[in-house]
Amino acid sequence: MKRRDFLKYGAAGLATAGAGLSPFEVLAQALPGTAEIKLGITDVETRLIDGDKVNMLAFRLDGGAGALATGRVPGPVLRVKEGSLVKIIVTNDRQETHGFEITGIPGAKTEIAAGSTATIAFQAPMAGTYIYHDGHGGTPLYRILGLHGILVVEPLNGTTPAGSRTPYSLDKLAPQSYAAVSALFDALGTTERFQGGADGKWMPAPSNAEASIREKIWICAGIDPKFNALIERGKQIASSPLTANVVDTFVPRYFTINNRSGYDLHADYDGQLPVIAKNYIGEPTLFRIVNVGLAHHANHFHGNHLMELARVDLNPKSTTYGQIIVPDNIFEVDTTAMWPMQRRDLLLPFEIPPDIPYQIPVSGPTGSQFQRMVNKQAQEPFPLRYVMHCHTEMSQTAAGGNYPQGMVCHWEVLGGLGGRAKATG
Amino acid sequence: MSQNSHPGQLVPAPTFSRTGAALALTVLLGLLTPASAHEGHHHAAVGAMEASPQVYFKAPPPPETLGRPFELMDHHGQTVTNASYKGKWLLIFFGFAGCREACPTGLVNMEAALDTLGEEADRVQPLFVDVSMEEPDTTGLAQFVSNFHPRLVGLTGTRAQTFATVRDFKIRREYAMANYSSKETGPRINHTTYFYLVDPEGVTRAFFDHTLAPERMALTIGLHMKRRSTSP
Repeated sequence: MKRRDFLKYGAAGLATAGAGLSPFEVLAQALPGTAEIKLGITDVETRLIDGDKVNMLAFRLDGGAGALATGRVPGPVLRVKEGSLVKIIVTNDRQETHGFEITGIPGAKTEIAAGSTATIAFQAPMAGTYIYHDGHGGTPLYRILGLHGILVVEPLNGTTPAGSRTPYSLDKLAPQSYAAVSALFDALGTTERFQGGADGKWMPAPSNAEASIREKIWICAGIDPKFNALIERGKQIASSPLTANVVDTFVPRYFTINNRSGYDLHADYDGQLPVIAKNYIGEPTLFRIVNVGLAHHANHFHGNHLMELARVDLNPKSTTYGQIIVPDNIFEVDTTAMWPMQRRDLLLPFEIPPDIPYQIPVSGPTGSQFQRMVNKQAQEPFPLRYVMHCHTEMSQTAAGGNYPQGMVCHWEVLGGLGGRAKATG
Repeated sequence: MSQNSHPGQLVPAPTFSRTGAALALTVLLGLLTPASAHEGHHHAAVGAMEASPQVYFKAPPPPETLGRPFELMDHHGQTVTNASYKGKWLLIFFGFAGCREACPTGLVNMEAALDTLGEEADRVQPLFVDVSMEEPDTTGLAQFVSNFHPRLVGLTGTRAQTFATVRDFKIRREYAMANYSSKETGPRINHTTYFYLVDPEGVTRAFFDHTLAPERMALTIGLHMKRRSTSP
């Protein structure tokens, strides 16, 4: 590191001291490193929303806790620092050949014969949300059977001059995108609209955590049990007319977020990838939403609009095809188009929802007024819950039409400003 | 609107008017009889509906198409199926033991209807199926059903068992979180609130709303039982 850079990061450290970071931590964030991750490919049994059980293929994490150690769908959330040298070692416990690749990272692709191990090494690219999956043979077969997960690349230079943390490599953005992202993240916690104060600043999840109160990963997918029936423990998945033409024969009967749907999304369980965003007014949460299934989804949020931070250009004719696009004009959306293999980052600002409570005596309450008003109500006390459902309507069902047992969940407002004793995380 | 609408097709709902009210009553009565018996009413009413605004509702399914043999667990933890109630008519209500609205209302009406039926009621087995998605709680269910008809049996089951049953009877259930009413302690489920009358052969013969007056409920059940006993 050059001395001039050190001075720059030192200054950023002072500026972010209010966000709870020591200058040493800021320095640590600014250093790329190495990361070695050991994954395994195995099979697990999954209970679907209607009680039926299917076999799935799953990644397991060496040194992971609980379900991650034995295999879980989706695979573990991997977090690495931009620029760091990442080595991923994959062991194939199954009887057929598998693949491993990371979409959007050239060269991060390998093949693993039955019972053997393969390694990929790459330098972590620009910050953003990446999908790792098994695309062996050029078909989505193993991906839809459960071999998928998220790699989050944290930025090296993600802090604005004013000291606000962002999820992006600011130095690699076009000037207009840099300005837009900086303006938004600087506004958080400091303006009348974003009232959170120091707690209103966005913070990345800890590097060893899958999710945090300010960051949630959502992996949209679909399940067609006739494909899962191909999986038997200890046996090879045989070629068949189904495996020969996955895209045309796949008819999803279950639609999932993080491999759960409907009622099973209403709470988070030990060892599973958390889904439900729970936070306080003025304290934004970042959603990293990807679609690894074969159906289009349109996640629609009630209660707040979301800031659309990044997406992948999926237009094959575009010059930026396959790249992460950080817009120069950040739109507010309530519905987001998730085509297969789309990856989007959206910020749920946790603003005061406009509709609740109906007894509110002033039109523009401050967060603390809001807290007091809601506390007085018997009908709808905290937590306020707002629906998230899929506007691609059929994905709200499961098992051939049961509504609302598909891609339907909610997010929660736990309280207004100052509504809690502050906890870490 | 075509002249050949029948249950299952979309038909425009009437505006609120005398005609509309009469039509609504026709549809309601239709629920109480086999679908084939009232098809003519639909045809007769179509002309009157043509001028009304295009508000659509779906005609109800014929009762015979609802339900299938089930396997569940009773509130003593014993496995039960249709065959467990051989020779009996089943009067089934679907809900959840934590319910403070439709379920108690319906089950009180059920008790009153069976009382009205008198001795005939001995041929009817009242059942309450808990369709919540939590793990079965037979203690809570037993406590809940003890508030109603002495022969009322509470049924629950594994996720797969209850799911199959609600699928077969086309029961809609939707979780709303607790706290909407301070009297509720657990999650609230918005659910279908019909009674289903199943004959001893396992064929669903009628369904009707839980707020139907107990005398009407008794009359309906009695008529169906009489009809089946005279023309097998």
